[in-house]
Amino acid sequence: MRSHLQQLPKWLRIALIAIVVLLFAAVFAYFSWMITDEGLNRTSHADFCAQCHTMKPFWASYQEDIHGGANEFGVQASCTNCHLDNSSSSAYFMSKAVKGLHDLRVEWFADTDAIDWEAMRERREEYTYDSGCLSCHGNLKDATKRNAKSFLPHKAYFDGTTDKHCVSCHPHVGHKNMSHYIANPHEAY
Amino acid sequence: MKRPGSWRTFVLILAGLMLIGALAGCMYNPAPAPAEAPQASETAPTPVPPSPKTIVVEVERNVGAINPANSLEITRGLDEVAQECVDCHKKETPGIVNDWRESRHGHVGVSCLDCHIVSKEDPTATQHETLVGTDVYISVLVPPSRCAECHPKEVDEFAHSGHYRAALQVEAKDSMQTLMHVHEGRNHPELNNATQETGCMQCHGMRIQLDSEGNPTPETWPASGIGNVYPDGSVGNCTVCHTRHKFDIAEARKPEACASCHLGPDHPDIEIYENTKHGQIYAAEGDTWKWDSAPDAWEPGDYRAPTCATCHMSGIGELSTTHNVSERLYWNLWAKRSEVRNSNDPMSPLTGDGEQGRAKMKMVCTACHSERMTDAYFMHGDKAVRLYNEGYYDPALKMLNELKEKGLLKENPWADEFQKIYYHLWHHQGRRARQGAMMGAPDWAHWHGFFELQQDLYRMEDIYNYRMETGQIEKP
Repeated sequence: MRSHLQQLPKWLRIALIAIVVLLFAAVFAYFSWMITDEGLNRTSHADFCAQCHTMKPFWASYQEDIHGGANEFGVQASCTNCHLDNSSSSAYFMSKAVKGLHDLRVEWFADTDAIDWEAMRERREEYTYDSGCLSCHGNLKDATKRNAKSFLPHKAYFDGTTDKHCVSCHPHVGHKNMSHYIANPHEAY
Repeated sequence: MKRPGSWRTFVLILAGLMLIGALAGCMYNPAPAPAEAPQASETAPTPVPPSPKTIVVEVERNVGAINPANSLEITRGLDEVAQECVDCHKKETPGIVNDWRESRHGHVGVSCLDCHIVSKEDPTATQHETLVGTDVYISVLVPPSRCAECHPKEVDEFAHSGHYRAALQVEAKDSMQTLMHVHEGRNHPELNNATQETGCMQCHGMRIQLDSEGNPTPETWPASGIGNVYPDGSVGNCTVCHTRHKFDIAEARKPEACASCHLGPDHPDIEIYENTKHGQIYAAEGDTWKWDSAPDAWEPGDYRAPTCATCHMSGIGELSTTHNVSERLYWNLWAKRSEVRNSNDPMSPLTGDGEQGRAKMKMVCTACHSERMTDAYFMHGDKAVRLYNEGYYDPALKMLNELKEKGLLKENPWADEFQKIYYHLWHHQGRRARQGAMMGAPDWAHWHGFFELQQDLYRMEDIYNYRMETGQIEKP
């Protein structure tokens, strides 16, 4: 075999090696993509996030909300659609890593009962991302032109004449009756 | 079978017929044939009901006539619940529905719910009987944060203006609370809030409190003041100038919009305006001007003289509109001693940028006047303000401080002749002189201003001399 290979012309040997390397690379890329994508997917939805007890009120209020699937089409936005930076793949990946590690640290090492969630809602702009909203509502700019009363507020947003975020004016989006579940977390199970 | 020319002939004949028809159509006079009307009355003697057009004309002539609101059926742009609001309220509160019908909000389909809906968990959430069992919660309170959803720029500008602190400063100042509840309210166990409820908070605004049901308490609402603090923390009250439920830009552009608060002995701004040539021209012919041009497009020509809004808020020439009424100001003319504005903090008595403010105000003036005239005008005004500062307020304060040092002031300032005159000197006469001078009102600058000021100062000097010489406070 070895002798056979050696007998081949040099260019053919190089070509064969390149094909084998490319094949391995493709298989590697396929599996690593699959594992990464599957991993990202499985750790992006409410059922995963709500494994931590701290998240129960948000899971329960999400279930009752249109974005949580309480709509006639059954469409659901996932937690990461709104709570991670969706502006690019790298931004998404980085924010997932940073937020994920942060949440693990807080869940394991901090006193989560001491968190004033209602007060946190006042700075909701900091942990939701317009890029997330716009990745689904991609045609919002044009769509809101059709309706006179949604045209005006969204015009200011798309013109950049306001620094408001989506959640500034839609403070309850994604979670219905959230205050109730924050105040009564036992009802969220 | 067919001759090749037959279809051409057909088309030519058809075109000819159409041409004749078109010509006939042009020549035909479409005015209703008068002969038809008598024919109709002969055959059908019953009176013809008024056409819808007649009703519309009637409504425009009688703005505020509420009968048409009673029969409204609106589906355009309104969802089912909002239609129910209108269905009931056109009978229960037809004035409100009529206002809305004539508003821009009505035109673009902003419904009752768009402003009044709140989430179930909002502290102001209520449901009246027809909503019980539904998922719809409403509040009678519409805070500026709600207005900001569609008008973010305007609300943000307001939040940087002196108007922003109207209620907050009353709340924070012990002297004002004491004046309201102790001196004016007589410390009455039940009635001490009466002067606040009927006076102060109707201009300054109020921190609105809620009862257990989520409704505003009668002690704090209705508050028509401009600086209301709403339960969600947002500050302001857009409906002071754009009154409910018409929210009319034309209304807010007229001086009367400001006049429910900017009047009286301490800041007679509407009287000052009436005393100016601008005000006189407005009174003479303002009813013929165009008041509803688009924001930033309301320019000289639409009017022949400015109103309060024109100078302090409107887009004019290169200047764009602002809801920050402090933006075009140089002095703080309301203060004890006028200084040049130099603060970004709306809670500061010096909020605004004086130099920029003056430059912007001059841009307003020069939309109609020459630069030479404008410069001279402000030179007049600035001299008057400086004269008040240096000629009246500084000596008055010096005497006050010396008397305080010697213990020759009464503890109750409202029962002390010297302190009463001191208050009138800066709060009443002093403001009239300065505001009258800066806004071109000679009678207010002079007779209600500086003339009174010199009288005040001489009287204060008398009292001061007596107290310093005798070491006693005079008996009345």
